[in-house]
Amino acid sequence: MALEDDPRVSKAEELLWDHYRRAMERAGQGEQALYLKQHAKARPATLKEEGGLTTIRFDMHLRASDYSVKLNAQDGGLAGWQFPLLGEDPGRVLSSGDALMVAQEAAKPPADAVLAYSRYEEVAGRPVFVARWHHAVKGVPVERDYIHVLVNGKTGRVFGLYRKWHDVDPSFSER
Amino acid sequence: MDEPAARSAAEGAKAAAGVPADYRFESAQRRFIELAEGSAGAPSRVRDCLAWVVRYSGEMGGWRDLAIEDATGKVVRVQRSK
Repeated sequence: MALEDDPRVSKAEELLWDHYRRAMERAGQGEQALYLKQHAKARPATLKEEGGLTTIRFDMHLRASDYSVKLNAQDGGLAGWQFPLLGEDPGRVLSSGDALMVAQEAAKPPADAVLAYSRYEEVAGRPVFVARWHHAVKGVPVERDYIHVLVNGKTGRVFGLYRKWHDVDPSFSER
Repeated sequence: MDEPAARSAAEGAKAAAGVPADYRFESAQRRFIELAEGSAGAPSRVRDCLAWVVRYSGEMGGWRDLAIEDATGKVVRVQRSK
């Protein structure tokens, strides 16, 4: 049985959160205790039975950043994601050409993608490298199809990617 | 359908499509657009349609886009500035 499925683990986790909640209330932080689980995560690490006692050890993880994912409601396909932590402490270390190569590797633009623009932009006063592709079939634009990639120009890491793309189909279908 | 034919079709349809009389032709672009099967606002199947999107604009910045289906010359969509 996986640790997460052991009923003793869920019971222990309840006790763990209760312990933290009480500690925060004692410290006069009762209101913040309501949001504790949004900022920390307990992951069961080991379970040891010894001398009639069961000891469960948790690894505690603190939330470093939001991470958002956008899914196609029709087929569950990944339509986009953004991980702001990877976008922190940005800069213009990478040349535009090198940053575009990073974006291109993540975007994997199809053969009928057309690079609309790629450049450093100021977002909330910070430099962000943005690359955007549009969709064109034999030179004819496909309305509203795009791939949009955000790159941290200092670390060379992609921190956001959005994609709306479909094969042109003149017959009715659900998308 | 070429651009002059699309512009001509749009000119003939613009009054019925609600384009104000003082709006002037701005641009025409051939593109694939998505058309829904049912009424707007409700989930429905869609199809791609090759169309000429002809834009008329007014002096105050407003605009109307008439999408003329390439195969039939009919207006299949009207969009307006908000």
